[in-house]
Amino acid sequence: MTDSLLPQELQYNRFGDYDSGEIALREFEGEPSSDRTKELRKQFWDAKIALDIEFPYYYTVKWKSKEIRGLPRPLRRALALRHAFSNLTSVIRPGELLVMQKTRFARGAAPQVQFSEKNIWSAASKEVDADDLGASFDRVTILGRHGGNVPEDVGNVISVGRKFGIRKEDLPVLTWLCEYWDGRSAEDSALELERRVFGSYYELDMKIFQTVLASAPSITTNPDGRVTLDYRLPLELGIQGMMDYCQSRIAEQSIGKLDSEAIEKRIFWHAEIEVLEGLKAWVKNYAKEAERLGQIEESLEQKTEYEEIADILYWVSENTPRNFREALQLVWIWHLAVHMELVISGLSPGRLGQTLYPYFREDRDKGKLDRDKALELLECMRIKFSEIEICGGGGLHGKLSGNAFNNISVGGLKPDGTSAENELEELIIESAMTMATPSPTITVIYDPKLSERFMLKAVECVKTGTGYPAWVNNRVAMEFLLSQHGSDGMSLEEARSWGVAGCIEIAPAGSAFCVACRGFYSLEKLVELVLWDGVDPRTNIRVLPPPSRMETWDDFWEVFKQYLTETLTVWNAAENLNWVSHKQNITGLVLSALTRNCLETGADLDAGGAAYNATWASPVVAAVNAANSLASVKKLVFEEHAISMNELKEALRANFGRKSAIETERYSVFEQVKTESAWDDMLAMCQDAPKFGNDDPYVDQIYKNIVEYYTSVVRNISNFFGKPMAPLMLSVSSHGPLGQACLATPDGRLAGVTLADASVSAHPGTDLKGPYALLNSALCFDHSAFVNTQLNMKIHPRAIEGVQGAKKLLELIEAYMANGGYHIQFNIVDSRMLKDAQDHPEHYRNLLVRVAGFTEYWVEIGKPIQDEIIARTEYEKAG
Amino acid sequence: MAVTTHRVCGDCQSYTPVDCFKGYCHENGGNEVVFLDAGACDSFQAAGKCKYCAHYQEVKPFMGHCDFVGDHVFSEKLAWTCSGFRQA
Repeated sequence: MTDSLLPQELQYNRFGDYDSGEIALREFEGEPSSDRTKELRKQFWDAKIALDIEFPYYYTVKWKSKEIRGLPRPLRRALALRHAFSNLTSVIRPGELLVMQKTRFARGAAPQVQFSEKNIWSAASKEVDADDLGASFDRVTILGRHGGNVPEDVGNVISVGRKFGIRKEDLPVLTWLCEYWDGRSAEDSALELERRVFGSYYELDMKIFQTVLASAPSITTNPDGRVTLDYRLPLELGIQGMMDYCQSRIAEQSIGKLDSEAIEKRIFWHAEIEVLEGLKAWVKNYAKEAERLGQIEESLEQKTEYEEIADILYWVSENTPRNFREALQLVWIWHLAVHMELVISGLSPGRLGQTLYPYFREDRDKGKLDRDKALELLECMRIKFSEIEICGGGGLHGKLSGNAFNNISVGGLKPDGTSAENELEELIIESAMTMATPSPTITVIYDPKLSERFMLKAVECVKTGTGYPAWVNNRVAMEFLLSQHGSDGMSLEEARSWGVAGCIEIAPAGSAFCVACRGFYSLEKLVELVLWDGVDPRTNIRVLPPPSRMETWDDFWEVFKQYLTETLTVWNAAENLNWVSHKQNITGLVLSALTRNCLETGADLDAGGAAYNATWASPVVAAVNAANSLASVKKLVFEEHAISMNELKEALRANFGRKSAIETERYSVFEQVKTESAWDDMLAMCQDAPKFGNDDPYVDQIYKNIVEYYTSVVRNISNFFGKPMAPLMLSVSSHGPLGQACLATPDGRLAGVTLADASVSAHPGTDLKGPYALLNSALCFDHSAFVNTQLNMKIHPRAIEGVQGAKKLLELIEAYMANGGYHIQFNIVDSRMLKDAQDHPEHYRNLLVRVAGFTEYWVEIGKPIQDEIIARTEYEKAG
Repeated sequence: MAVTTHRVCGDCQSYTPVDCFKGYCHENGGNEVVFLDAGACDSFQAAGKCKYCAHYQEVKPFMGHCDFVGDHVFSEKLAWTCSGFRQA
């Protein structure tokens, strides 16, 4: 029997008046502005996600060649990159205005086996490699089965990681690549080093993976990211100009003064020249392909377009752009190049509307670019960004849900402190509305100096239901930046120029060393370890020694802190150790060229070449669940003595008399299947205990204590450059698999149910007192101490209808920001639509939702995340 | 046009891939979507792939050796940038 005897239509978490009419549509629904972009979007929807072995193949062939085998790593890597870029197949599809793509396939990714081969091999062969550290996380990962995903083998196409298709004729090549890199990949060398020099901490680190206290290691499968790019040098110098610049720096060196530091710089500049030669060849090959297509094309219009593309590509292969379209094409080339050299997520164009504005403005003022053409180009750009795919094992896609987190920031301030909004940024928002693709996501940097007109335009985009723009607080961000980087010389003007990196992270503009993070750390799993005296109840692995005492709440809290300190310190220290391998094997040379200071000083990112080298710890997830669970324990066990600790643990083991979510495949509070009633009262007590999101100081204080303690721990951990790590809280979609790795918990959550998303979002359905109560809970601590905080809200479309509705939403945003909230974003959707889409995915190919810091197609998201989004409280009124 | 059973669209010069299943056929200047594994028509012209080159020797399925570059290659590799390509 199911718990819910309510009619289907009432089985949603709601705050406000219930809408019993037809499923409400979003107030605005965009349509591409031209037939061209409509067709390009259709092609994107029809394309299946594919794996292409070309790039790693050419890279490996050169890497292992005799003539470069003995060279110092940066140079050896550069030569391998040059060879790969120079030999790729050029593919241009009819109708494209912006060209070049990552692989031969529209939605293609390369298995970068030089980073990590084991999880790719496990995914391709469907046999788990015994040494694959990602296997534990893979086992709790469920992916979407529709849209572009290839969940099963079909004909001559083999499914890899339940997401990618690879041709069977390419599989022997992948096998050959994995065999070569077995024992040589960055991951293998990182883990071997760790095994040898980390001492007893190595064992603890491995247990963190095995128990899924944290997600699969990304340190080499997806090490780079959460960064904004500096396109200044490509735009001001061009590729040839950058090569000339490197040559001039080499020429400045005195031969008689070539000490080790000077030699390292010389090697770096030579490495950059090799990579730039590779980029030049790559672009020219595409130009040749455009010429070839122009020769065989019979339609005069399409022929002319191919010829125009060829001309543009030949020009930008060496020179600086002459107009807006060429500037956009050049930015795209470089952005793509970084995605190809690295396995990188959260690579953000940053304040693109500021970067490209001079080209845009000049073309518009001279009458060379009309608004419609500019919009069409931006729409083409959206297709290109959305096509970016990243390859890793299944676990990586459990965390990322297929998104690459390319984030464009609009609004904010100029360096001189005036509002930065402009016509190009408005068009960027407009193109997001018309095309409705997952990428790039858009973030408004909210500042009171922005005009109401600009902000209402952004609200209009929110109403399309795409989940963007998100809204972040400029003042909070600037406080964080000056605190984080002030000692390294960051000025106020520079702080104003910041952009959002990745999902929502505060990042200096194009000038920072970056890490994606080692993985996502589950605070709810930590609660489990405390409850079970250091043993993971799901796997029975002892992670930590048992506590000496656990008789009072203070004891419980002390153990929580002790376990957090020990595991988090080891986890993050291991990241630094793993980074040695990154530096030796997979350093980002293209990325270094796009980071201010690297070319100037002659040092790549891993050698400390960036202007700013302070970074963040791996993010924690489920702080809200942990706070809710600790509140239950504190109140029910230690204060009211309503239940004993043993009774509680017994109830958790029994899953409160319910089947687990994994068994029922229902990953939220809804439609759970009861097997016995003996635990009903205890479940009710746990569910009724104080919950975060209701402006309840009892649990909000616990939340504050958790995050502040977490902050104090990471601030005592050094990053690779000896800087204190900064705290980071977000989930991406890791809260799905991390939830599956947890049993029932004291907050009344059942086994396998997806955890709370983001960092200050309420656990679905537990925020009962309206939106402002949720905001007040979220404001219980200082957001400016964090790289980011993250809040998702789901609002019914009718709650913000019309101009008044838009203003109500803006009021809510402004109130949150004025009180120190950093980030907020919205799903504008009728929950019944989501349920219908879950039952009939074939009718909802284009439905987008906001998961955490990113937007994704509903049909491509796994069910654990879908269930969680459906269960989020739907606000029927915004105020 | 008659379909030639032993050749597939994906091996033709006129084919541009979209994904692992399908692509575009530029035959006669058109842009028709075709399946990679579909039997090729009479207009089929072999793409410049290593497997069609005289220098290619298969060592194992889909992988082999090229005696022009003197190194390992894979059969589906497009050789259009290779100056040594010679139709077998």
